[in-house]
Amino acid sequence: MEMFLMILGMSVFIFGLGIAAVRFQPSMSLESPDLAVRSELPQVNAVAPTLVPSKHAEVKPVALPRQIPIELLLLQIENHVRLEHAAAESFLEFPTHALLYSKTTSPFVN
Amino acid sequence: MSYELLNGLSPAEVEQILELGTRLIVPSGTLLFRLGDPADRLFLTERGRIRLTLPMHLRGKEEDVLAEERSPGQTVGWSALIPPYRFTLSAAASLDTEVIALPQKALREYMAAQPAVGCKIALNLAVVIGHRLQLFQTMWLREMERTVQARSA
Repeated sequence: MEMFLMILGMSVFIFGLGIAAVRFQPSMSLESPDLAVRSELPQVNAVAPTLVPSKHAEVKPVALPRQIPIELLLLQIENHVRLEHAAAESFLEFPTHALLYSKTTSPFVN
Repeated sequence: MSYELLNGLSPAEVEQILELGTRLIVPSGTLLFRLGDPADRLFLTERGRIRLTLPMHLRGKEEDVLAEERSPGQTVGWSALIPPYRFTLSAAASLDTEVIALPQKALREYMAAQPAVGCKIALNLAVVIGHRLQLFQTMWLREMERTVQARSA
C-alpha cells in the first residue's frame, strides 16, 4: 500500500512538472523582449569557428568583403573622377539628354 | 604657347603680362599651394601638369582626391582674382612642371591701367570659371542621378 501511494505521488508530481514546463516555455519566448530581439539578430556564433570538435557538419565562415588597400581605393576614385570628367566634357561639347545621363564605365560604381 | 587667360591679346600685350610674372620650376610631386592659403598669385601653366585636389575623409584619414588636372596653356589659381582671395583647392605638380606666377597685385594694377586689356582678361577668366562650373555641375548631377537610382532600387 505504501509503495502504491509513493508511486502515485511521484506520478502526479512528474505530470504536474511536465504541464508547468509546457505552459512556461512559450510565454518565455514571446514575452521576453531580449529573446525576441535576439531571435531577429543574425546568428553570429553560427559562423564563428567552433572550439569544441564536433562530428556534425562543419559550419563554414561567410566570406566577408575584404577591405581594399587605401592606395587602391584612391586609384579607383581617381579613375572614376577622370571618367566622369570626360563624360561631363562630352556633354558640354554637345549637350544632349542622352550624353548627360550616359552610363559610366567606371567600375567604382558598377 | 597660347594661354587661355590671354586669348585675344596682342603679342605685345601678352609679353607685357608675362613680364609681370616669374617662371617657376615645380618638380614632380611638389605642392604649389594648399587649400585655404592666401591666393596672392595666379599661375599660367607653361609645361608639365598640375593636379588640383580636394581633401576627402577616407577611413578616418584625410586624403587628397583628384578634382581636376591642368595642362600647358591653362590657368591655375584664379582665386587670386576672386574674393576672398584664398585657394579653394590644393595644387601639386604631377610631372616636372613649369609655370609663370603672376602676382595678384601687379596683375590687378596692370588691368586697371589698361582697361581694354583688363576687360579681355576678365572675359577670359569668366570662360575659365564658367567651364569649371558647368563641368562640376554636370558631374554633380550624374552622381545625384546614380544616388537617387540606387536609393529607389
